[in-house]
Amino acid sequence: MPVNGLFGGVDASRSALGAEQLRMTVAAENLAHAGDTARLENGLPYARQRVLFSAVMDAQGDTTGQVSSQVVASPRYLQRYDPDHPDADAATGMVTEPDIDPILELTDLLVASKAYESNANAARGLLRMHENALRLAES
Amino acid sequence: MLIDDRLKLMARLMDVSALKAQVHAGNIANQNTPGYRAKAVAFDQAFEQALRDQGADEAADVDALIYEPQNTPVHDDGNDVSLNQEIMESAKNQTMYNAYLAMVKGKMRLLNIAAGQAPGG
Repeated sequence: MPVNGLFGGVDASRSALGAEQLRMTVAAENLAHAGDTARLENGLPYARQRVLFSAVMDAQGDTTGQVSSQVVASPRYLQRYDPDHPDADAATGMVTEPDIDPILELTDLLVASKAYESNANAARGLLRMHENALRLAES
Repeated sequence: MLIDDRLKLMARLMDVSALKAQVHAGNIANQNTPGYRAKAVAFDQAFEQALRDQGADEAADVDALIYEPQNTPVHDDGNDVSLNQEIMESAKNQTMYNAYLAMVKGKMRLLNIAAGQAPGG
């Protein structure tokens, strides 16, 4: 990790705040769509989303401390027989719904919010260090 | 001159401390990144040894090396960041940074007095 100015660490924390926030948003979205059988254009219901984290590399292939996040669909569906359901397949009577486990999503939400907090604290600590150093100029 | 030597050492220690803070921030940022290996800064031991065996000038020239410790327990996803350790180490580092700052401040106050200025003025 190169020394990229005083604020390199803050950049790392900022990128992680964004990534963890995205993870919380996606978990909430998944939760909201649990049991959502409404079909989209592709004929399937809502696909569960996941957030993939990866370390940001610099030109030399070293990690910079920053983290990038990417939302990918993780389509898995459950089927149950319910021919009276408005979204049921007319021929088979099967209803398709996204395979979303609320416990998994809530755990994800919890982990992400803890990680968010620790990154916010890390950024605060760094900024306080810089602030104290700047006070040298006052004396 | 003794005063210059010490200020130079303090400046170096603060530089390395700032680097450590960045490394900790990077580790905390990547606590959930699969495959990420925590980083650490190797400096303290070499610095102490140079200061003891050689002198302040040589100690101030000691390089701070960023490396990836290999003896840490790795989680299932290939990540080996220990959040507790990072938080404690970065808190320690911040305290040390502030201590170096306080020493620089004290030195500067003395210099100000020597220069005929009122303390802190």
